[in-house]
Amino acid sequence: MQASNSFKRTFLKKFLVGIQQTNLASKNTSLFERRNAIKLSSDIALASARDGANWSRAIVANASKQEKNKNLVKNILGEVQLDRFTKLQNKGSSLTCKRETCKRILRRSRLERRIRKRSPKRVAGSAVAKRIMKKRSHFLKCVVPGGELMDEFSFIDETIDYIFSLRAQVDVMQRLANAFEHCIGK
Amino acid sequence: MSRALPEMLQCADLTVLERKGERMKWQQQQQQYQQSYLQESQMSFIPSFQTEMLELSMMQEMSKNGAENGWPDLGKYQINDTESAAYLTAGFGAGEDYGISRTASCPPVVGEEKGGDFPVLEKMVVKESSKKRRADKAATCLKANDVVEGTRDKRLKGDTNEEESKAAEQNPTTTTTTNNNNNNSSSINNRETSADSSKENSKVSDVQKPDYIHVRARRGQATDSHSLAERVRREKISERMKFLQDLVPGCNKITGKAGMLDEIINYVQSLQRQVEFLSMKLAAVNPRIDFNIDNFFLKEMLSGCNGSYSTLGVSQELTNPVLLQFNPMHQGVTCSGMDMAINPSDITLRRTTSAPLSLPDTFVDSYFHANGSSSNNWDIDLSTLYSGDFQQGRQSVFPSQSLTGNLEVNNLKMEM
Repeated sequence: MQASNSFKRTFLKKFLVGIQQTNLASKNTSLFERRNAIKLSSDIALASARDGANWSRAIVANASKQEKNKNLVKNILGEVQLDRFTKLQNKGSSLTCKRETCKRILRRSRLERRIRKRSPKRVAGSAVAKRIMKKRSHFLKCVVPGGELMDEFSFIDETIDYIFSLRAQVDVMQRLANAFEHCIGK
Repeated sequence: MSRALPEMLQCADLTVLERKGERMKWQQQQQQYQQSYLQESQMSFIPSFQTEMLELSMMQEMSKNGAENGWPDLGKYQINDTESAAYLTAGFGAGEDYGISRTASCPPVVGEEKGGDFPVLEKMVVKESSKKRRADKAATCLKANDVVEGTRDKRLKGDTNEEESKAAEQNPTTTTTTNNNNNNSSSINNRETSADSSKENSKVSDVQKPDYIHVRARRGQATDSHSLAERVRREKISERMKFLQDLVPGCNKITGKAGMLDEIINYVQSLQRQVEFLSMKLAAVNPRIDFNIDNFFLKEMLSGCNGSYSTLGVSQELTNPVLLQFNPMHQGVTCSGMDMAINPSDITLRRTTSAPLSLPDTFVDSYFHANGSSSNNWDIDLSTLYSGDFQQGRQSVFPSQSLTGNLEVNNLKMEM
């Protein structure tokens, strides 16, 4: 159950391109800024290595929201892939707007219901369990990038995929860090 | 079968019409039916009629018992009276052929005694309705005996209903109890029809089986398309959840969906935090990376020829203490190039960096201790690698030809 080596290699290549880019862009920055930049580039590299999944699209979309990151995204992804990503992203953005309005309405109605429900009633155990489940799954959806827009079934698929690639990411980055440390130690 | 079908249809039509007309006409046509019935009964008696009658009487007894249970004090005797009378008359009317039905519905002695008090008319009614049915069937269902069984059953029950209602009409005193009976029998009817529909549905799903997903509804589960689809969806989700459970370490022991979700969330978050931590680590090393990136491309390419090093016989991961220390989780994986680079003991590549941070044109010294056996592989891979990937690196173009040339020498100094 491991991500393939070719996936790791492509991720590593893109990641190194991203690191180079950030280093060229910012010479004298604080540690945290550099950390954020490296994390971002690793995320984008992961997204570009795993092309086609919803979460990778979401990562790219989130990254390219900020102007300063656009160059980085473009460099890592390359023109062709970026085109594809943005095309899909534009399609998705209208969907997000709609979702947001829906959410607002839903929240309002929920508020009303809550007010109405204030009367001291005994709540059934199953209802409590259901509420807990809802909370958990909502939280998990927040954790997985782009999870808010998915239905339950595709969301589980995406989560599996995301966990796979996260593992690969951690693995590669760990090796990279180890290698650097070793280099410095010598 | 093809011949029997139209007859079936006819039979159904007849029953509907008949049921409608029955209530209106029964008084006038009593005598006539009785005569025809007698003729029929003498003429042809199929064993199926006997079983029918048995069923009928069983039904009545059942409903009677139900009524007795429901109204132990009020309706007991009266109901016994009417029904036993009906049974008696039916049994006697049928003669020796209905012996079975009589014994099955064996009325109590009290009822038998009291049965004589009731007017003859009612007895006639009951007799007549059962007769009529039989006459019809004798005419229509002879050929399609097996086929029509289901419909016949329904019809039978409908008739019992009618009988009960007629009895109620005749005996206003027993209305409550007979209503109860009706309810009983109608509930039985409903059950019957529901069972039929479920059979039909299962047939439909059987027909669909080759084309679509095969769904089997267990006993007592809903069979309409919506709930079937919902069940399929839920099964799929639970399957995926199982897969996810296998994926997340330590999630196998947890039962319950909420705990599982908790564990998954924890795992994903821990992975994300790990990434954060590693990027922090890399950021700390960052200034020095600047000049090494090209080297990493080289190493990455070397990973391609990692397979050729299997001739060394020692798995690199296991012999490398550093790696084992740092990532115990990922022992099984070989990400090739990096391992070789940092493994000082047995592996062919050793590198030392003596790079001051500020200067872009510093030298990174790297020593390649290549085995003579594997040097050929290096040639190929490096040359292909540098021609492809290295151009996007730094301006100082790497002399690929000189490198490949030098690699054949065991010890070389590379200048970048």
